[in-house]
Amino acid sequence: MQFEYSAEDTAFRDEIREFIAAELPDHIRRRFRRGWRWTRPEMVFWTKKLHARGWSAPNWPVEYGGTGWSPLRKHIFEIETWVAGAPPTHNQNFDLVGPIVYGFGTDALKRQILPPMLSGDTFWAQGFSEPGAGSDLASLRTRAVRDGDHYVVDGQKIWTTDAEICDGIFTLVRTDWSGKPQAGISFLLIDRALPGITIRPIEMLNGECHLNEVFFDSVRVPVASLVGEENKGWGYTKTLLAHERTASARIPELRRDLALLKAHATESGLIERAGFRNRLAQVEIDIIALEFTVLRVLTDHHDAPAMRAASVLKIRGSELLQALSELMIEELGPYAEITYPVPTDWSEPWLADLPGPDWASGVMGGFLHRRAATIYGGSNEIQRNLIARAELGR
Amino acid sequence: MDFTLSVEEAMLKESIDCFMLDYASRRPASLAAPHGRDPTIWRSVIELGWLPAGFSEDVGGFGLGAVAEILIHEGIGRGLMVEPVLAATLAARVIALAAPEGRCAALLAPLFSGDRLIILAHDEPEARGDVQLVEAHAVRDSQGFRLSGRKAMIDSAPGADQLLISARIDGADLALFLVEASHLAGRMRVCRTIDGRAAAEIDLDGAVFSASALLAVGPQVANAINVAHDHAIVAAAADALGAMESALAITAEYLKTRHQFGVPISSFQALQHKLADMVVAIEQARSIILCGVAALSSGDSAERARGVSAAKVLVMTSARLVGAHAVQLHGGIGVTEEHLISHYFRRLTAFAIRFGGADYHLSRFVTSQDGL
Repeated sequence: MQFEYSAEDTAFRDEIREFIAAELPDHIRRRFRRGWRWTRPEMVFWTKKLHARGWSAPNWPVEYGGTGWSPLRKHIFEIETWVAGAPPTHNQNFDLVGPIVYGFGTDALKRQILPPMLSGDTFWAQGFSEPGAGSDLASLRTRAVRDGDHYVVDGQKIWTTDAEICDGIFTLVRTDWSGKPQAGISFLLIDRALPGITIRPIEMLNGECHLNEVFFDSVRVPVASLVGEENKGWGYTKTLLAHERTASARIPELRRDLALLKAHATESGLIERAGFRNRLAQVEIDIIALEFTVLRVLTDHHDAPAMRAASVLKIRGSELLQALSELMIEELGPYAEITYPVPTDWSEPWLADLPGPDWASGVMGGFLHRRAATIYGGSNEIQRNLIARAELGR
Repeated sequence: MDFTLSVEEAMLKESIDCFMLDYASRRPASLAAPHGRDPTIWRSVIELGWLPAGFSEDVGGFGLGAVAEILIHEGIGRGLMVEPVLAATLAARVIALAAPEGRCAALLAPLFSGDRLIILAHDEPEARGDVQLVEAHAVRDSQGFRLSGRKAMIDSAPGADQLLISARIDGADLALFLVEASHLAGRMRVCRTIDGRAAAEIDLDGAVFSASALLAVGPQVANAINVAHDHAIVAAAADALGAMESALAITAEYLKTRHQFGVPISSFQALQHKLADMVVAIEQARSIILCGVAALSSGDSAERARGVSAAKVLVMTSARLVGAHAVQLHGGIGVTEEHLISHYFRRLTAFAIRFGGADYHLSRFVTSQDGL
């Protein structure tokens, strides 16, 4: 075992740090460190900055325009990004649809889809969940029926993150009804500009509106937009999730919030109270353990399969996001009760008119939204089912 | 950064796993042996090199470092070995770090070869994990030193050949005295711990040590005791990890074989989720132990304290959860002496008690400088 970062990895970290310090504008940094989500202009701006440096797809192979970094370097990059208050690389583009397209798509599809993602010109949204298919995703019913060179798509998706600002939606659709539910699902890319698509944002409990309902009404999608083979979409998605299993630990985000919480609690003096201080220390220890779990997955090929990693990381990552947010609103005290408007750009003109410290605006919003962390991405109850199934050998 | 076992580490792990598989059938003999040390088993432990494995070559060790020690103790915990590997290693490390250079090898050689068991008698009733707290005193007089004070629950002191006793000379400098155990025989109140180890309370009031019993005195003694305890905490955490893994495996097997309402009880989701929580707790424990090992190799003492105390806090939380769930999922049989799961529960409970509680280690984690 080797417990130190190599000199090369440390130099790599410094290079990332210097890049962000030089390129990230203050208004973006400020908004992210308040806990608000990015807007499309911010995401476009930062993706283009990264693209100019060749870093917009940290986890893609070099041949598709990625960096070719090791999983450990990608981990370092993400921590530096979050802690500095820079937008993360667009998860749906770079962690989800991109790898499926270069893993299973035709050459024509790769040439069409990947370059504009890399350059920050197109953004994709994930259309998997449906009103009747949440935890039981395989029961999805949005149908795609072949008609000549097109599929005709009818149905409804829900909780589609970023659909309101996206250029296309990558979907799981039903193309066969005869066998097991998982066996009749295909992976289809749907251009948002096609006629018959209706997008309706869902206002969330914190005022944000980046989750959506998406309705497909006889949408004609070219057959060339099918990724891989018909009826194999479920398998592609599972393969992908096996490769991306450390993301759900949310270490970069936890590290950012932990640093901010410590700074604020030091400023307010709350850190001097033993009760608060010890609860914060307990959460910090849990985060350290989770980061070492991530490092085990990233660096030890013998250990990882045995450790039921994906579900453990998802459960702890989501629970710790919630635990940190609970401490953050406690630290903020009375101002946590305020309903701050969701900022739609960087100017935040209303801030001066409302009480509370200037960083208060995203704290309660984050707390409220994070109740969803134990629900999405396979609820924590589903994750426990998976762990138990593996442990009981069933 | 790479947590894959090296070739040497993997070979060591294989030999540990192999030996501990065999140990299960021999454990009753260890429990019945005087002072929880079966001579045949102890001979094997010595031959396997478990005592010197983690020490550097210049003091007669194998140079395999802290990783070797966590592998050994994880194996020991998995099979609930009662022999005093942890206590002997703790004493050896104090000697390696504090003894005068000229005497170090001469003291460690018979300890590593099994010819002489030396045990550290340091902990005191009021310490609760704070190894700096030493109220035992040694006052110089014409015969050498006259002692006062009390050492609490010294692991494996009964059955030791020699005791390494800490006390402050004339109320100031911390010193170590090496004395024959027989010299203190009448001063020990011997007991068994809930997990089968032998231990003793040692009353030092009025004991007289010869001047030659003084092994070391000065700041290096406190440092040695500090560092050696941090190694022991991580080793004990690895022991608890091994015990948790076994408890999980035994519990999963039980759920599959026990039938109620006409079905195996593993089919009940309420029980499955308890089992899943055990898995999560164990994986977090395994990870924080790696943090502890990384901290042990740090040259910075604050960083070491921080990582080790983090490990103690988290592993004891995991140990409580895993032990309690394992018993609960077994039902009535889980609270009997007959069923092995109650032995695992007691081992995990003992770990939480030893070397200081959550309160002490949370504070130590906080007050040690931010190293991460």
